[in-house]
Amino acid sequence: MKQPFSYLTMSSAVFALACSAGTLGPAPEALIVIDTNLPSPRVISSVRFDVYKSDGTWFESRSEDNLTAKNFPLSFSVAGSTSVSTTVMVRIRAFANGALRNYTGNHFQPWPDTVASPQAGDGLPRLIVGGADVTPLTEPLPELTVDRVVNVTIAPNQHGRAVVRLDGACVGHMAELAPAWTSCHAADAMRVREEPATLDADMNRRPTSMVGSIGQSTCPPAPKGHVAPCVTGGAFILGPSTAGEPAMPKGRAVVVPTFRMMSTEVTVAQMRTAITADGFHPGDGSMGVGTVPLPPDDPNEACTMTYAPGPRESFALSCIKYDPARRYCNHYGGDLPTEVEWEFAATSADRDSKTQYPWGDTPPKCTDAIFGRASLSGVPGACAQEMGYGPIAIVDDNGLALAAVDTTPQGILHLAGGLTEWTRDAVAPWDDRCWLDAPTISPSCAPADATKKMRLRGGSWASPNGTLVSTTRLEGPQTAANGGVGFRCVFR
Amino acid sequence: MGAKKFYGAGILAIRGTRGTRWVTLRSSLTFLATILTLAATSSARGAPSVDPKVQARADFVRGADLVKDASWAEALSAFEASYARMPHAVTRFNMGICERALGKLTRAIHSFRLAIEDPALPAGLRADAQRFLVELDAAVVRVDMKFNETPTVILLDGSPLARDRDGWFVAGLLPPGPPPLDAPLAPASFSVIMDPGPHVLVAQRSGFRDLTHRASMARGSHIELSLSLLKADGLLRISSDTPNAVVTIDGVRLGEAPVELRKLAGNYRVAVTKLGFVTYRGDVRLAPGATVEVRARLQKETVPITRKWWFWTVASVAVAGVVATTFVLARPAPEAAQPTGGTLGWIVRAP
Repeated sequence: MKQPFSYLTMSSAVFALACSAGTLGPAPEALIVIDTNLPSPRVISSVRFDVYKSDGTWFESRSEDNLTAKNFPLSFSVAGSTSVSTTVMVRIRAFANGALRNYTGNHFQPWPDTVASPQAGDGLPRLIVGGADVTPLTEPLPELTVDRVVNVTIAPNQHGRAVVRLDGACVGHMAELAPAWTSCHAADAMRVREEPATLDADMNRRPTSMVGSIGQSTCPPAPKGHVAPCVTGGAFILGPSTAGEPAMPKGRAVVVPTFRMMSTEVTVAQMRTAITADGFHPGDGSMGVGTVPLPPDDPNEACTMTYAPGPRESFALSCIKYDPARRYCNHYGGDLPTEVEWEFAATSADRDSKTQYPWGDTPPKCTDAIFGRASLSGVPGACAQEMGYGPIAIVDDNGLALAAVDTTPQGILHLAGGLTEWTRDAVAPWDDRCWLDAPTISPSCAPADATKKMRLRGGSWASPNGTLVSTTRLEGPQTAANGGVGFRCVFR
Repeated sequence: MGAKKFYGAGILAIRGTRGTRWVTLRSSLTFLATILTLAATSSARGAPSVDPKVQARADFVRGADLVKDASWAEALSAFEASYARMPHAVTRFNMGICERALGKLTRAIHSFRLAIEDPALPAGLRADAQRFLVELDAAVVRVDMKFNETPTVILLDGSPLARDRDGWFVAGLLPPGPPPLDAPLAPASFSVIMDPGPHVLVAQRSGFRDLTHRASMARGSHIELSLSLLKADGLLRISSDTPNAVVTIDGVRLGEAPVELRKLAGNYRVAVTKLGFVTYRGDVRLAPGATVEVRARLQKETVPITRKWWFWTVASVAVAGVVATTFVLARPAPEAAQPTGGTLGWIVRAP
């Protein structure tokens, strides 16, 4: 009985030896996991990967387009070696689909010059594979891109995972390649020299994605006496202005923290209550007072306020100057919206992609929004003959909103039509230093003095429909009291 | 201040809160009350106690009074009673208002649709109903359900699903209980509209265990739900006429016979073995809820040389030795496992 068992034992040992010699552990590998707090696809829908040796030699490139939130976190592997330490530098650029320019090479420019003057380079470095020049023809626009470099160093037989978070505060901050190898990491937007990324040996843990979380915070308290829905913060691509500003052909990515915005423009009744019951003093000559009935179609005369309560209490208040409008908001603990807040609410909040109008991308019909109700140069407005002339109330006799299609997902009415609205910001093109030097989070171009013209946003009852596109930027002197201009407040 | 209150009501209107409902409802109640009053006075003279119009009017007025106290459930019952006696578009509209207030959104959609289809609905209420439909459509939950097996009965919160004209299955329209005979059968994959909030789903199919799934749905969400119906058990008893025989099912040794165990319905390969006996082998089909008994009769084997244990052991060792030696001498250099490539399936290799 013993001999056959000894044969069996011996042959099993031979098998075990042979098999164990052919089975190695996991491959040397760094799994690079990429996540972002920017919204996708609204701001991030493409990622470009470029891989370099540590001396700056570019040897691989790859693009992923049409990404959405469900694609994050992304991950890929860098293969290591069983005998020597391996180092590659991976440049990761996240941006919106189509936000590209012709390839000019990596010519690092510190913020904010990135936005001011993205210079053309000399076309270097080049990507050479197998002796052929396969350099991509395009590169992401720096001003719309989170640009990050990761140092991936893998020791022999090391096996681990590194999580790279692309922070929205870094949009527009270019990375600097060899020999500096620096890039922006987080909210302070300071560039950091890329040291070898720490590899976590636990390869299986999948981080919860943070996509879209930037700017989101607790909603401020509801203001007294005003309905002001919460606009959950986020990031979006500001502009470009419909007027076109060549220095920012595709806009600029910015972050808006959560705020509240009044659901309508301030009404005649609200202003009357503020003055008679809440102790607000608008000052002499702060607003125009109209006659009853209103002049039918002259924006310069159509002031909705009356000396005594009358039939226009539920009209939006027009003919108010900039300073009393802002002081009204301050009186209730709020402020005029910045251009960025106004545009975010009108085009992007709670939407996967930016829309032309508060309700979407469909141009308005005359019943959808309050516009086209004046004669311009003697020609009746687009809706004047169908809907009538002059401003109208916000609500009908039953308290139901008029032109209710002009509503954002949060229930904010009449951003497209009704009255053109004062913003807090001064008139300046997007490529003015005032805007370029503004931070990515809550950018603003506040007035320097009372003589400056101020930005107005949105169309009015007198506007042609082209003005209703929410990226349209208008302007007016601070002392103007126009029948097509009103305001609403935000609360931060 | 009066103007301000009026303004406030307007804002509530677009936000769909209780104040708005009352503003809307008040006008509709007045309208219908007028109609019903005229109808009652003209027809009630002959039979004042049994005229359904009179009773319908009374129910309607009671519903209106209950609405003033925001007693939506009681008001809905009153309007339903009125509608049962004398269907009218405005009553149906008011039912929708109550259902909307109670969070019965799918029922509210149904009511508003019925009201709109009725030409008797006044234009103002028709516009309101259409606006409510837009609001409700954004608020209901859509669930894309996928089952591994087609269920024959689906109950959501105890009620079967109805099917609307657009082909969607809708929860909350039919009363609790088993599905009516003409209820639509859901396929293995289908979409259902339901109210936001917690729900209990029960799916049944003959031969399978009842499936119960609990979930809480967020307002306006659209989610996918994959559910699996598991086959029901059967009882398998295996015994042997020979003591100490070992029972194996699908290659798994279960111990000495007799063996009794519950198994999911399906096909099984049973073997009963004992040294010196010819192994019993058989295929068993176990139906859901059935009991199958297998009694194995083992016969003593006559053992040729090839059945002697040492014959095959020696032969196996010899063959294994040759194979192993050949493999060790001729094997390729060992390779490491491949990197994973992550979600992109992309592996960067340094040149």
